[in-house]
Amino acid sequence: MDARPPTPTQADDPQAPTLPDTGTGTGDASAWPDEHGDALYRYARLRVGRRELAEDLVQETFLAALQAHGRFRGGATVRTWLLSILRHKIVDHFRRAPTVMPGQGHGSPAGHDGDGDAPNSRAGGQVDPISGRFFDASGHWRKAPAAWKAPDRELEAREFREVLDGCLDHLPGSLASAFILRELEELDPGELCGVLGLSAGNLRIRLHRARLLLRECLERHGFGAESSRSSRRTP
Amino acid sequence: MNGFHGLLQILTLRCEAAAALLSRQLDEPLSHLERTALVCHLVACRSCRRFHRQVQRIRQALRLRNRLGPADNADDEGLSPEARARIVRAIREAQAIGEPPAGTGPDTPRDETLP
Repeated sequence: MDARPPTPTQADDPQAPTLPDTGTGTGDASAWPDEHGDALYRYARLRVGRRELAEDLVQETFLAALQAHGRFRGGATVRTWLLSILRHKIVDHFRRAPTVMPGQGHGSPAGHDGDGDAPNSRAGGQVDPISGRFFDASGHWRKAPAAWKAPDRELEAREFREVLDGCLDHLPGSLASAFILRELEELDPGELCGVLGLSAGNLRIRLHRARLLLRECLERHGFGAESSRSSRRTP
Repeated sequence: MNGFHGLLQILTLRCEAAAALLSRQLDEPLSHLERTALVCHLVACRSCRRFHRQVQRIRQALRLRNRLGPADNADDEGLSPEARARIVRAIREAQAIGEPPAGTGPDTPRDETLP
């Protein structure tokens, strides 16, 4: 099942075409929080990191949906329609505050822990903190990535997702916003540069740093081959 | 000259640059030279082969979740009762404000619009 909502630019754009009229309604809007609130909240929470912010975005989504109520014609499920609006709200949130950390849960404040945009090189004798953490002066891995077990069971895959969520929560803010919009919202890099106001080079650096940190975090929390199952814990 | 520099790039690619290329190719196509240098590096470097597989696995896990959509799992964290009550209240208030006065709804055109 592909539950990925439409692109945010179509989500609650008044100019967007309405869905075909099949006579299906959106139901009683005051029942939406019970029917869809938890799912929308989890979708938002994973992306913005902070409970209060995720809850605000869910509320904004329902209110925007209420205003656009007349445009819902039943061509999609109510859940998909609401998700598409929420997705738009999330992208908008990152667009408004691209360098502000999404929430306490999303790592250290911007500028800390090397989430700035200094190039990866060591020009001028300055060692980029993230690159320097993973690679030595000659460009070799300081600590070689360990082998990971293959995700051969559903339980393993679920554990992997849970730890990954915890690791995402600990990414520094500006890395998290770039990575989340790229990998969870699946924005293409050109669109993403526009949303975050970044050059292509800076976006590349942020995405790479985010991947280096996430990979290391997963390994640290039990997905390296040497780690025993019992050592797994959510970051 | 270009051929010489290309050969040099292929022969001297280090893990740091290889990892950056592996990450970049998840987002955009690499040049022929970059791909060649990367392939040659991966043949010889087990660490970078692992990094390659692992960043791909991270992407697959996240994309799979997107395909499935948010789960309705009662065990997972949901809206807090306070937030749920606040949201229901906000929806009801918005509904009350947005309620069109009787006789002015879209299905009941005013007299001047009638023939």
